[in-house]
Amino acid sequence: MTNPIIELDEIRRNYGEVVVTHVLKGINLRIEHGEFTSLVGPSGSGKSTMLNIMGLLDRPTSGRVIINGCATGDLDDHAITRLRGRTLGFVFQFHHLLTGFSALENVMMPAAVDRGTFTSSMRERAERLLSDVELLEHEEKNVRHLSGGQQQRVAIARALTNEPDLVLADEPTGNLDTKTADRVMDLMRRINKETGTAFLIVTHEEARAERCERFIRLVDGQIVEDRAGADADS
Amino acid sequence: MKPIEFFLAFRFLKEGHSQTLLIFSGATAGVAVIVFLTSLIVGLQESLVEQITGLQPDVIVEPEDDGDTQPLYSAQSGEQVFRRTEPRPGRIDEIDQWRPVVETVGEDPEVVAVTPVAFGPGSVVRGQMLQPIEVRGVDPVTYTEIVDIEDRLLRGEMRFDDLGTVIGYELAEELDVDLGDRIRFVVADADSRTFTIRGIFDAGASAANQTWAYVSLREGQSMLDLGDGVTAVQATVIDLFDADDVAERLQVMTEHDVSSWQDVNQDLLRALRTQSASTILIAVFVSISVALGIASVLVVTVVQRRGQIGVLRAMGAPMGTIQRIFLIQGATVGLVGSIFGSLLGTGLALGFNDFVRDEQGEVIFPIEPSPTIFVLACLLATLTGLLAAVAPARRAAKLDPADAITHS
Repeated sequence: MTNPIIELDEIRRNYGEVVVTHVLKGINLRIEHGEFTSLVGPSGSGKSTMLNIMGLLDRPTSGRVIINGCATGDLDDHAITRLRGRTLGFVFQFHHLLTGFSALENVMMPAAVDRGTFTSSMRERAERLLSDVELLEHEEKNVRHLSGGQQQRVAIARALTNEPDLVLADEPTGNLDTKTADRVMDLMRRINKETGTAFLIVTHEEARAERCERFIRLVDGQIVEDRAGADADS
Repeated sequence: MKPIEFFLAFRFLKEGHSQTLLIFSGATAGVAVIVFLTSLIVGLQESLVEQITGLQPDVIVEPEDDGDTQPLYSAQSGEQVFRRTEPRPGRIDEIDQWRPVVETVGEDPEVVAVTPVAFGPGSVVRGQMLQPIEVRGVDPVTYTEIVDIEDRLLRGEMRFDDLGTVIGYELAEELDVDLGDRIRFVVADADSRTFTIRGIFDAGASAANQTWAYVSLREGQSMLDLGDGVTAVQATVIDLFDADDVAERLQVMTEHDVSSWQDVNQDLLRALRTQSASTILIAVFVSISVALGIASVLVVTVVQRRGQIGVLRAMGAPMGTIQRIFLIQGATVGLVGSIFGSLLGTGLALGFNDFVRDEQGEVIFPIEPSPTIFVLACLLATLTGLLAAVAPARRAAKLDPADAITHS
């Protein structure tokens, strides 16, 4: 039996010292390889905090984050950074692409950061990814000159560069119109099916969340619902 | 340092547009000021030193002080009454056995030329008036290796045959004489001789132009009643600034009083040192201003790019990579600024040479920015840029990635 990609074990996250805010109150969760999961919840429910902890961008106040069987609590910053870069991909609501860089450079960046330089094989892979997100003809374009939907597709391609096990997407369609948002969701689903890359998509749009294989609802720092998506396509 | 760090640093700078232009301009201006100012001061100092040492020997061996020049002590208290007493009036101290001294001095590895001289006070007769002069008996061949009086000749040549003399142009004007004219020199004991003017020089110093009268060594010795003796042995050395070491060495070897040009010009050297210190101080303050400029612009860049820094961290860029991206930016600003600054500083220096001239249209003192100044300016500016980037780089590396992504 293979390890889950991520296992959260009694994760708690508090903020403040004098006035303590309990944002996550004992989260237990396993994300398996190849899953396509949505995470919904009202504003302030702790979705982003949970995503940051899963992405090793933040550390929990207590509890364990285990990635591919490796407990991350004792790892130093360098080891955490390497593990994050090689296991996880990120897509953010505001794409956070490197403006001033071309689409191709942005997509190659995670691999270049990992290996310290650009290589021709990186370029080939980045072009393949851009082709997958139907942006190959824009590869040399400065990302500043792409539309919002195109930028988000570049961000998805970038998240896949290091062949991560899991892509964590925080409101990836939150800034897009309905048609473009549907297209981006379809794209992630297709990649999930074709490559087996797992996705955890944070969204506030329930209808879209129901289309995922697995549906998780977070309320007030606790998982209150964890089931199959109602409209999930097989 | 990884290639990706240079790539990101250069692209961040390129993307910075006006900000990048601003810090490059600041660094360029700072380096230009340092290069120009340093070249100016070095040029001025070299010109001053050259002017002084051109007329003076680097090392001079003089007769030992005799008993008359020792301090005088009170017989009662034993306290020193006078620091020194002067020799008997009318008598010129001389080195009798100067040939061995010339030989000893000439054997020193640092010495490149050596000459005996017979200098003493005299007068030139003009009508009923006596004009004070210094009779300078020299061997024209060896003396001109030490003092470049030949280069300073306005007319004629350094030739003393048939009672020839070479005088300063101000003395010639005062006496209303020119080449070929005859003038009469008188020394203290009323020995007078008539010389023919063979050359007229401009030493670049009024005192020399008004009083120096060169004659042959033999005539000088004879007029000053030195017999075969000379008043000093002069020498020139390979490195001007080693003259005091050479003098110290020769002091022991010749058992005469040996002094260097530095001993004679201590006030000037002190002034030059003070000037150099103030130049360094100005360079330090300019560097601090440039560093503050670079640091403040990079801090703004860190704030503007916090989202991108957060994403790079999320992609797997370690803190060290983020830190080095900003350090490279600082060093690049310093290095590129120093290249343009050196060019600008050189342009200013050449402009100074072209536009700032004396009444005769001559360059007052030539400024020649040296490669050493460029190399030092480049090193200083690169180091300044690097140090200026330390604080912004640390700040960037310490950004919490989650916070940077969320709040940008």
